[in-house]
Amino acid sequence: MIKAIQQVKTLAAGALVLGATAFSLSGTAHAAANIVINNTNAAGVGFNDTTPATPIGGNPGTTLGAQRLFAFTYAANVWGATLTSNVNIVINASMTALACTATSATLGSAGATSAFRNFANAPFTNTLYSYALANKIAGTYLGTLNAAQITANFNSNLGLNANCLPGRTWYLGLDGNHGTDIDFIPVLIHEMGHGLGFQTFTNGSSGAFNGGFPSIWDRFLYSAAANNTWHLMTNAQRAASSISKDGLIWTGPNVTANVPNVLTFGLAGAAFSGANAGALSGVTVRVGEADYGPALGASPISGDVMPIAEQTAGLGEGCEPFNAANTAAANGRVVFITLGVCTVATKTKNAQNAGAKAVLIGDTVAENAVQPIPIGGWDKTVTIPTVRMFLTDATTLRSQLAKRTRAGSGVSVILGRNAGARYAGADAQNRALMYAPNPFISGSSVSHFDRTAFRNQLMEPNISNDLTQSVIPPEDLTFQLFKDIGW
Amino acid sequence: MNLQSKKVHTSPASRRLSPAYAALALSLVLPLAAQAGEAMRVVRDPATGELRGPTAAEAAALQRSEAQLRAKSVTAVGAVAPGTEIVYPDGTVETKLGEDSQLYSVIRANEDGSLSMECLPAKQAQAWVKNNNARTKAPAAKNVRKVAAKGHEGHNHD
Repeated sequence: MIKAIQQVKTLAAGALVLGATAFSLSGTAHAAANIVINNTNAAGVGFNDTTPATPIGGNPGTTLGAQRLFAFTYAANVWGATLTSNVNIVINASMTALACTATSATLGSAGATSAFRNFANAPFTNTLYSYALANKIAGTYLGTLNAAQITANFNSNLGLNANCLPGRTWYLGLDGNHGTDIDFIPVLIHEMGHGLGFQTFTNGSSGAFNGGFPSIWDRFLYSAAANNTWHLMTNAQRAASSISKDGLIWTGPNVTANVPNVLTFGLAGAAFSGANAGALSGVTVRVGEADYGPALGASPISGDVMPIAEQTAGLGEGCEPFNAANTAAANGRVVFITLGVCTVATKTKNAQNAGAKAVLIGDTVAENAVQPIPIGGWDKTVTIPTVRMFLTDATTLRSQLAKRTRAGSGVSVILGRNAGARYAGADAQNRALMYAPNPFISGSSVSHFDRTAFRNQLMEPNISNDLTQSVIPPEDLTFQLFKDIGW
Repeated sequence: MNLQSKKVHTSPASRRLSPAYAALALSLVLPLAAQAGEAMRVVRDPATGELRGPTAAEAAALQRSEAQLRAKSVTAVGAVAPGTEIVYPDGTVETKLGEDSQLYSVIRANEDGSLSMECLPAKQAQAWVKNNNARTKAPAAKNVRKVAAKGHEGHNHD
């Protein structure tokens, strides 16, 4: 965080210089690695949009374009302050109209423009490196003079018209107080990370190398089933590894050494007991944690479980302030509420207001995963934990809770890090898990940390609300992975 | 391969490629960029996947693309066909990447007001946005049918 604050200062000074010297259409992020942001937007659009704007959240821009470029430069500065290279990293940056509907949108994209192999100082021959990393290792500018190493393009229409997720625009502040808008900074840092090398060029679905050559990434991908690393495996083995869920492991020493510094020890779980627990009696099931509220800690939370009934037909369980019956059920207990209709954060807040100790959310969708997916949401006033249960576990629990009386349910739970003695998002040897869902998700699988990682990581396939802007321990493992591949 | 690039890229003009300095940057860059013409070009045969020398038409297309890139002083993804390989005199090999190597962040608003965000490649991102890609609901179990039919929440972001 200290580094991030320092960068804000650097950036503020840089922005003034840019403005004073009429370089306002492009920016430069100076640090251990010099990142050149090449603004490719035409006049009046994207980063050059002249629509007046009020400075927000530490972003001093007074036009929409200036705020966008300031935020982009800020995100680049995070990387520039972290990476080292004596070769400029050039990003071709733009903001244009991207695919949208009234309820969905493409936020943006980034990626390397080229991959290189067999360059000067390459640690391994016939191995693909992303452009910026290859330049760093070679110590010189490879390829076409002035070529960009990364292309990045983000949606300029987001939230600004009826056909592009109206009302949900970019939050251009630097302080994370995005409310119901979409925080630009973590999305930028994430996508830039891919462009800098957080990706394999190998096709995880078919297992085929790009052009017949492995990526440096593949030397650190280990399949527990094949007992081998990707660069030595067959296509079929790599393809199977890509859908192995918790069987795809990163073996880089820097990440492994820092897993204990970043991830939380103990898998989040719910241990059930009681006379009416039925098939769940004595069973500890894995749960997915929420982005908001307190995380499950070493000190477990225990209590009797009670279900929350829907109060008004159609308005959903837990979506309204609890009535007397639900308040009586919730007070001092752990409540069980089914997903849907309103946000989970709303359910949690209502349960909290009724005196609940914690919330179990029953999923309504079956997942082929080792752990229920985490719960998003945003409410800084929540003080009790919320976890998601698999559909199958939730169905069983709901059935058992049907036997409840007003006095209690006869089902008790202990919530804690009690579902496995390992770091959340790592294997038993402290090696980070990579995202390997079944079925395969092209581009998303393999090139992200597994979404079971907790604390949440920048380079998971989803952007979590509780991310900081750090890419280093104790918050994040991304830079450690970059060091593993040669940064 | 450009051997003097570091010098060029630490120059003020190349650090800030603003329109105001585009002409200056171009004048600095072009003489050095001409060295790219020394590169040996190979193409991947679309039928066999093997590397081979370009046909006359392919070579001309590559030269045109490279000239366009030099003129713009930047390289845009997709400006040269993805998979195109350029072999430099010292043995360095560059593989041009395309849209398939770009990762997209996409977002949707769920029925319950939450947001779900994912990181996907181009084709999947387009489909995701177009179809709104709702999580597939489970077959309605008797005791969850009522609420499951109303809404769902993915990894929301609000």
